[in-house]
Amino acid sequence: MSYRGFFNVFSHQKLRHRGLEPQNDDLSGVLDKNIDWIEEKVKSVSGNAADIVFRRVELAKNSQLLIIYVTGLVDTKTLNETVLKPLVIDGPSAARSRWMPNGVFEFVTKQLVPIANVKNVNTLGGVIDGLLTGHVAIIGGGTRTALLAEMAGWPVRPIEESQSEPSVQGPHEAFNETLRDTTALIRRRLRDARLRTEAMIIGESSKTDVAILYLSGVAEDSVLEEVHQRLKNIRLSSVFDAHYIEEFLEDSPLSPYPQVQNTERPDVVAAALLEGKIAIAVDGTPTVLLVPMTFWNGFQAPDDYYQRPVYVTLIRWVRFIMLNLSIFLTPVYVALTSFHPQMLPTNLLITFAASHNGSPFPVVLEAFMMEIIFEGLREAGVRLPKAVGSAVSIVGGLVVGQAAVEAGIVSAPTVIVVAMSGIASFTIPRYNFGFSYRILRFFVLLLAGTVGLYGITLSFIVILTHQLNLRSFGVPYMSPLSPRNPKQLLDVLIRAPRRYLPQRNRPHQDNPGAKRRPNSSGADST
Amino acid sequence: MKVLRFGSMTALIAMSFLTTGCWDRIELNNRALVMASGVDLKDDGDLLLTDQVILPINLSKGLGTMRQQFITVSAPGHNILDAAQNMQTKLSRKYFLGHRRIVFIGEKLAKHGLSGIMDEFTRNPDVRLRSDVFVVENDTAEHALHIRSPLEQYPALAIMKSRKFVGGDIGTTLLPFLMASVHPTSSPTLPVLKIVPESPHSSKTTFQFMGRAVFNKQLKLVGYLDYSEAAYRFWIINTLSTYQATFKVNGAKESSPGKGYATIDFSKFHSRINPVFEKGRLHYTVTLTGTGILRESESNVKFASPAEIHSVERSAEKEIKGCVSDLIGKAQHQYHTDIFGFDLALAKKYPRKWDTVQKHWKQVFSEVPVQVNTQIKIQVVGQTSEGVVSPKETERGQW
Repeated sequence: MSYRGFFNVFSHQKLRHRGLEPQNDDLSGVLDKNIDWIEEKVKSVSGNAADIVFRRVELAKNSQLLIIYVTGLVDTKTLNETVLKPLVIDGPSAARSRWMPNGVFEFVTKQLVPIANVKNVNTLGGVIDGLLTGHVAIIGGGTRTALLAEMAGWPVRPIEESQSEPSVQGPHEAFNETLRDTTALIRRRLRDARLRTEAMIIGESSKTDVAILYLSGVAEDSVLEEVHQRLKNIRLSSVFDAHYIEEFLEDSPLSPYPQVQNTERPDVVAAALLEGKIAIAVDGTPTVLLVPMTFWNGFQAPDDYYQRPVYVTLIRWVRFIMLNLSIFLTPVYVALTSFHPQMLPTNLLITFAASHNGSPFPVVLEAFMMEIIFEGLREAGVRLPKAVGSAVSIVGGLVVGQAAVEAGIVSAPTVIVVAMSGIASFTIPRYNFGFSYRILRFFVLLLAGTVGLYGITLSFIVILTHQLNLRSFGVPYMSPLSPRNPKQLLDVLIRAPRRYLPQRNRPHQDNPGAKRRPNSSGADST
Repeated sequence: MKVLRFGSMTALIAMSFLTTGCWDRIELNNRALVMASGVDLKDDGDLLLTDQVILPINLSKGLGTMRQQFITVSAPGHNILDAAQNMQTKLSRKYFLGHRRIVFIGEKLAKHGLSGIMDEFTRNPDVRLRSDVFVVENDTAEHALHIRSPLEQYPALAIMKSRKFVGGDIGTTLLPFLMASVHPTSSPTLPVLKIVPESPHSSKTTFQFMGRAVFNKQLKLVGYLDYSEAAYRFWIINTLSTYQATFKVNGAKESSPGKGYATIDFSKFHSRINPVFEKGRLHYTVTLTGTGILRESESNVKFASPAEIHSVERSAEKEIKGCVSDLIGKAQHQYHTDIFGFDLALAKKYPRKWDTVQKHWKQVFSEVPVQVNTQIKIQVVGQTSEGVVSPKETERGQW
């Protein structure tokens, strides 16, 4: 199945879902008027938009064709080659020499326009919808149907290297903003007939194409059903990014943890599909959503599978340690220095005492200040233009780090600890997963500064309880560690050599008794 | 509604923290970190508590390590906490004992008895059980806390470290002392330090690690063991980790004084205390085994054959056997304190008999015959077998 076929599908669905025809009398069943009338009508509906082009071609005497398209959405070169050239240059002579029992229009559509993906619509609304999705409308006066030729060719970003998930040794390509490129990149990696692509349109105004991708027979039916259900329930006027949808997909949107994995790498999507996950691609965004997500997906970097397993195992443990440092290092430091100094080694305590001497704020306040300043620096570094970025790092590094310590405003160990936990949070490979730990750090820090180690223990229990309760599309967030599935643990705490990895690493399901149907034909649309 | 409930829940949780008064947060800037304490008995019967408190300001960057990094403050009191309260009135920061590694006890107080101050050590949760308690031989703890040790930032810790390097682990004093104190028959001991000049002609003084102070069941100091006696005691109770035994090798010429000594650096120690009832009479067999490396030999032994090595081993065994027998005799007849765990060995082997003996154990211990056996093995004789100086020259006494 090519992406063209895919687009064919979505158009039908769109008409079904949106039900445009009956809503607007102006746009229904009027294509048998002459083309002047149609041109006027389209102009009035679109408010005489400057980017809608009307082109007339005279094929034979008294037989004019009206060609309408939106400039910018249509590939002009293809238009010239495949529509205008046959109609203008070859058309008249062909029309003279042929017998056309069904009229000129039928002849044109059947024999003159060499385009793979064409369809007939018979309403003005259908024409307008087609125009807005990059079709060229060919209308012959007096006929009941218009020909829509799919010729989308708007400006697209080329396939570039991934910005948010760089890889050292693996594939480098990342999705761009075009949905059909996205689906093509995935399909190029999975030459599997079981790959299903379903289309939806979400957004009243943006009418964004959304595709659901999964491997039929591998993805859980229940999860798939849930995805359909949740996507259908979305009521949005616009969808400009996958994250618009992500919020509606999550089981607990207020949880600090992301329950939908997002990626911009085709290799990650392909691997996830093989694991039985379901991908949701949204037009206009390079991000593809993957559900269900578990806690451990937050740890797995794409490079984990392109490097040697022993090294990856080590790195995973480093990440795990760093993850815990990023959330607990500053709170433990605050708790130990202000509540339980007897737990520190004597020499360390003396060093701390020496550097705290004369600093005007309590340690917990210092830590809060530095954490917020650190977050601010990070945010500034992300938002600012690249040219200004170096200024931020200079100001951040020198002024905050060094001058503040020398001036005695904050103590050096606090700066070190905050910087270390900040760096630790950057080792988390999934960008949005790292956020959750930055939020939680403030929560733990507050408790640590109020009741010491007791507060840290308390917050640890709260966080762990939440993690264990959390579910993503029915899959426990901490699986396969809890509930335990020993075989799948080979790719969680370690990365076992590939030959020992289970071939289809499917997320643990709540109801192991429920058998999957052998061929989930009901969910297939193609 | 939901938002309102969330807000009120948050407020309630926040209030539960703010209104419980559970606020024992004390900034480091408000803590006086006590590194070492000393307790003395004053002439009027009160205690004098002396503390070494670190001065973090002098540790700060750029000031170097030349300035004194601690202050020594004393305060009197009827008991330890009374003195500590008086101490607090002299300090601008909260008195904090959590890092006190070492406690000095003046000899006068040790002779008077430690039962009073030990109560505070067990009752106060701030006191680390892994701290070291030293008796200051022939001097006061207050004096000892004023001694400077040029090698260490905190001089009081110097004696702890020297003890560590002659074979005792840091932080292993207080807990065994307390355990022996509460045991019905065992007697506790404490390590001892002495204030000595750095060298015979130096006016500066330093600490020296001396050995062990022996206490009776009333926790009164009854006497001292010197360094090697203390080491042999540890050997008997199986806690010795390093010791070098120096002894005279058999066959060395009697006419060359100061010569003929050899030293074995032991690495493995084991002991077995075996109480034996024979014909209704109790006697003990103490078997000490040790393996070590010959480090020094000023004798004319060539170490060319196993027989020669055996003869040196025999000399070592004889020497150690003599020392250990003397030590046990000293404890039996002079101090009347069981510091070797003979009681525990008997209770383990003859639990029934132990019940009858227990009541007058002090007397039984003082009179019981003890047979000491030693088995010494030299594993390695070092890098040379024969000494560099030929035996002939050794005989002539030339170096």
